[in-house]
Amino acid sequence: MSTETDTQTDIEIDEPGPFHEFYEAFSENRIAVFGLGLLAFLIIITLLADFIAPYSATAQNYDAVLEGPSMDHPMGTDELGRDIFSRVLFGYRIIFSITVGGVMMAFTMGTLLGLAAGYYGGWLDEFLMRGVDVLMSFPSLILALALIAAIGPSRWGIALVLGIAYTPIFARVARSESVSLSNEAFIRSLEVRGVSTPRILIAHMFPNVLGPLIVTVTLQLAFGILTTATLSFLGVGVQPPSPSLGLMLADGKDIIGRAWWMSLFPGVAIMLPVIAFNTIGDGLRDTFDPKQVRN
Amino acid sequence: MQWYEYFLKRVLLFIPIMWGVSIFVFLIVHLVPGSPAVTMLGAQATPELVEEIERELGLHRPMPVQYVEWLAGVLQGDLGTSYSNRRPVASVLAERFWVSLQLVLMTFPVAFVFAIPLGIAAAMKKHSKVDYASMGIGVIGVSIPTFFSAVLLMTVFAVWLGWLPVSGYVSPREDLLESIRHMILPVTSMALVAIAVMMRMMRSSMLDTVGEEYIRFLKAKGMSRRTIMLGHALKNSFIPVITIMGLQFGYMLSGAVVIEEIFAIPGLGRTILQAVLQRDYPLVQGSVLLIALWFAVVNLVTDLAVAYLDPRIMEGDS
Repeated sequence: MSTETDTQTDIEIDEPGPFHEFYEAFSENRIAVFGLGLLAFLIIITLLADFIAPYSATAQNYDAVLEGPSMDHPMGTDELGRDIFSRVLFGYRIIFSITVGGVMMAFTMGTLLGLAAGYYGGWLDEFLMRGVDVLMSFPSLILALALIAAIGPSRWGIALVLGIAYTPIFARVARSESVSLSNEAFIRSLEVRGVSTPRILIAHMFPNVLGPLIVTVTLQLAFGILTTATLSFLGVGVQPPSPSLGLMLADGKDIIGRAWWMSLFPGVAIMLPVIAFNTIGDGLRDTFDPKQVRN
Repeated sequence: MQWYEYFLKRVLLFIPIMWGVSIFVFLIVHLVPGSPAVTMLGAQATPELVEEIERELGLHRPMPVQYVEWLAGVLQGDLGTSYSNRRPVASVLAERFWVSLQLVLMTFPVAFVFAIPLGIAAAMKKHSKVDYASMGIGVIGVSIPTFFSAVLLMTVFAVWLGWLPVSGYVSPREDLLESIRHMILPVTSMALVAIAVMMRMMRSSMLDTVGEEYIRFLKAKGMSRRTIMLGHALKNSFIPVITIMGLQFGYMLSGAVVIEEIFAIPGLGRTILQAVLQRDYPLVQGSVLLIALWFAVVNLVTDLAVAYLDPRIMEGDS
């Protein structure tokens, strides 16, 4: 409603495209733009970790054990003399790869299952959605712990666990969009023209459900980073000596009185991408769903 | 649809879902690559011991038979024997569950008392300092890992200031005051997330309601903003908040895994983690089953309460 009046008052010569309109609305949300900037910064330092990191993530130096922050070691060193700043940078690489891998897997599986369930309806819908109900009967951390108990802790194991744990969420979102979409005239006309079902699902329905799913992707990335870090902290995630932000905090917590930098920097490092994804997700949600009155 | 019809439908749906949950929990052991007995025993695995455990778990029989027997046991309260505790799983869980429940029951009111007024205040004065401050707290609250906030709180209030015990658990039946003193830091760390989530929901739900037709009508009638917000919008915007509160209440048992580990509280969360680390499969199965049951029951009760308060929801569900 409010967007309609907005476009009426704005007299523009060029007709703004849908992306432009979206960008206008999103960029009004300064917090979300801040989140986007923060995320871009984190992605750049993660990609350039090889050039930025002053040391290797695993190199031990017994001449520099438990040193506080200094010019040589901007975030100090740990009990094995490893440079915390370098470990944080390479830790980002690991936590991002696990989380993005897991969420992308859930996104692909969940969206396909949800679209198919909503489109076909009937027993397939019933069967898939009851499966979703079952998986959603577990809090995701508990589901993750149960699966780790079976497959054992490993880097790609965690990605797989996240993929399984988050699939139902995407399936639910995709299904609810798919149910209303499959009754639309343009989908019906595709059926009449004899377009194959997989083609209808992927080429025609998928792009139309992308909006709400992108919000879900962003928020699940935030959850995923927290869950991955939590599993590492608990000792059932990434195994040493790989630099893992959660494990670094677990190592530091018992000597926090003597070496606060061992806990503080990894902790803040975990928060930054989560804040970025949460603020972007909130901004996207407000943009896609402008139900709230402005002012 | 009548309320009792909806009630019956939801309760009946609960049964197949719990059945699905039981199959999943049963399969945890069978997903283990190789023999779970070998994995459980690790370096101590001798052929005799492996055979003994396999016999105890009934691993030599066909899977459907194993499942039916396991389920029959579970329904009678027999969850097998915990290897790390050398006791029946059911008695271990019964003891630990009350500890976690105490943590959850203390956390929830704390979260409620802070989250709801803050959310309302933020919505009443949108774009004010109160709003920005509470939104800032909200974003940080949902973004800070529980283990980080717990470690920070512990360091400041227990290690540096020495006001509160660093960790440990005292039963309220033993010494009520000491029990509460030990619970303050765990409860605070656990409440932070719930406060953030509930406050954000309260705020956005209230702002959503304000955008609706009938509120605009009240505004046009000349009713003051304060009366509209507190007298009319609040009641209606509370319904989505109840759903979120129910979810948070259910999630708290999983948040307890981290909190109990950090503060050395012998509850359900710590039990499941120890069971996973020690590959005590009967204990993993039992505790996962119990948490899923808790989560499902809490969600069921929430759904029923929401449907009772807002009968429109029943229509959407049918």
